[in-house]
Amino acid sequence: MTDYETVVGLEVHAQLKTESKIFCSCSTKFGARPNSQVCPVCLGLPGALPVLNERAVQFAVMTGLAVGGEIAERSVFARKNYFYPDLPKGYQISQYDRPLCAGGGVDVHAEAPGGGSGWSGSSSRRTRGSRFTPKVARA
Amino acid sequence: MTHEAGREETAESIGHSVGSGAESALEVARRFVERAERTASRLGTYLHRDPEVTLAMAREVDARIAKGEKLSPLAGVPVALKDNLCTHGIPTTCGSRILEGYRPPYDAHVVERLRKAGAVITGKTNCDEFAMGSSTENSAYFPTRNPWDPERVPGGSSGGSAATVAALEAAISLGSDTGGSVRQPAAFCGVFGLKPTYGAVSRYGLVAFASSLDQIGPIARTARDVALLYNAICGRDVRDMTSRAEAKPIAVEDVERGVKGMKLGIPRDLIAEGVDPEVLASLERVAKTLAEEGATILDVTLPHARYSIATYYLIAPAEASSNLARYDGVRYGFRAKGASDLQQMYAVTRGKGFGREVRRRILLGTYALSAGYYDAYYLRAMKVRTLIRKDFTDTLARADAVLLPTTPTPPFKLGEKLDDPLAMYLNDIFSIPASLAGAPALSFPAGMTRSSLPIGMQLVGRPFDEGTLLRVARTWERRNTDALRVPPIAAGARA
Repeated sequence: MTDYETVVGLEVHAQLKTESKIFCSCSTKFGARPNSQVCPVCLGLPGALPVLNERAVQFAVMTGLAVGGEIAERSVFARKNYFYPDLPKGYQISQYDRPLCAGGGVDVHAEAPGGGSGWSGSSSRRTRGSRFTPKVARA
Repeated sequence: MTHEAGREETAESIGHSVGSGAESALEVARRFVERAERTASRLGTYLHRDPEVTLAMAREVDARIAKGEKLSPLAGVPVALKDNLCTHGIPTTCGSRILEGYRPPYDAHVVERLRKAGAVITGKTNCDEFAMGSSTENSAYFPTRNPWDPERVPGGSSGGSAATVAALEAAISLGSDTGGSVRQPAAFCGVFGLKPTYGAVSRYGLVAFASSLDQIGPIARTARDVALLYNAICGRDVRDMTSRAEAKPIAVEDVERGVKGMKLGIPRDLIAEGVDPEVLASLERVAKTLAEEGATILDVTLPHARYSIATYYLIAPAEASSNLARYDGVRYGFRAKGASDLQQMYAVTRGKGFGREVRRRILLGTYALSAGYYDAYYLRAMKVRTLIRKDFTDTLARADAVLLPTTPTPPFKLGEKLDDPLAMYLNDIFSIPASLAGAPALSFPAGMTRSSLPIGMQLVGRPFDEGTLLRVARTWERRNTDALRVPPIAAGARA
């Protein structure tokens, strides 16, 4: 086992506290009547176009700054194409090679099971006092 | 029998007479509906046409006028809409089986604007499936015929929109132009067709084909009518992130200002080969007339424009392959019966729901974008596109507009190029460069061949300078009053 290094990646999803959805003006209010907060854009109907929520971008940038990441001067959205019945447009609007923020990290310190020597890790390229070299993996 | 029926009937004159109370919107609508009843099924201009809906819209306009509401210059003007523009509750199929019976729950931005302006919708016009084609023969339902010669194509993909205006079934119409789909049919049908600057008109509610190229454009029988329709639809709309506030209405008086002191460039390098002699003769006639009116004619070059078709047939199908992914049979439109699992349902639905040309382009685009090929195809095409755009920027620093034919030949016969996709694609050699550059481009009627087929000339201008193009075309139009000719099928049908 000493030849191997354990690398654990976390993909963290967080719902942003915006008034409206990320690509249309429909409300995000919880508990409304079914189908009352949908429109041609979020249904992916023919002819509808997405408009990016400015507040969502602000939140993403704030998150990037909070973890010491780099904020891109120029960022690009990309389509991830695949067929699936829950995917009305046939693609997700995502980011690929030019995301809003990259890098940064959150240090994690924890006791090893059985009270052995502690370990620490970070998702960042920067490491502080860790005897491990964390790897950054793309989810 | 005269060819003059309806000759002077322009959107502008109708708007005046409805606005001044000389005629009701209902009377106008009845006249256009009657004409369409006689010719529309023979020409195949409409996919969906409901006279009751048209007449009800006209009554509503009259009621608004009676209440003292101040309407636009398009009040009571019959307008036809290409079937890829979403209309609330009215079928919108894009000429495809896969959207058969689909009724959108919303209006496209341009449709909203036209309703507000008091225009009256005559119906949804036939087109090549998902706007892919140059002859309207790729409609899944039936082809449209050229009003000037029903054995010939009206061009495409907005063939129905151009033919219905030429045949006076509608005063004006909207089409969409991705590589020439407004300009080429306008040229083939002897009417005006404008592809506005990329970003000048909101595409919210236009069913997407190739998003970096698609523009909605007006079709009309006079330069002034083009301006009126453009004014009703242009400008910023928050629902389309590419729409721009720089797109401002054109003062119709400015269209009359002539060409004195203007510089017009002819790209002779591009026009060197394969152009019909009658089209070339027409170009020279137009250039001579505009020179007499005070314009300076220059020779210019667009050195990369000859790569346009190769570039376009990578970029447009790539974007289409993604845009058309949503037609999968899951939520609306056509779904193939009898599939045993999901994969088979997708495959059979899309295999049967899309026609040959659409399937061809989805395959081309998917291939060009697939892993390992992206850099060699799509990325390279984007670089060539930048060079083509630069050709126009350089040329339009020296000239106010570029003048060239809209198409290399007059309208061809139905079936003539249907089995030869490459020959069909080559018909767009003069219209695709402006699309790739995002520049505004106008096709205007420039006379007829000896066998009475329309010839169209094209002007390409600086971004958001549609006004200059209309000024030049209006100058030619004033010297050639035959621009308002009516084809025999429309004139002969007069009561």
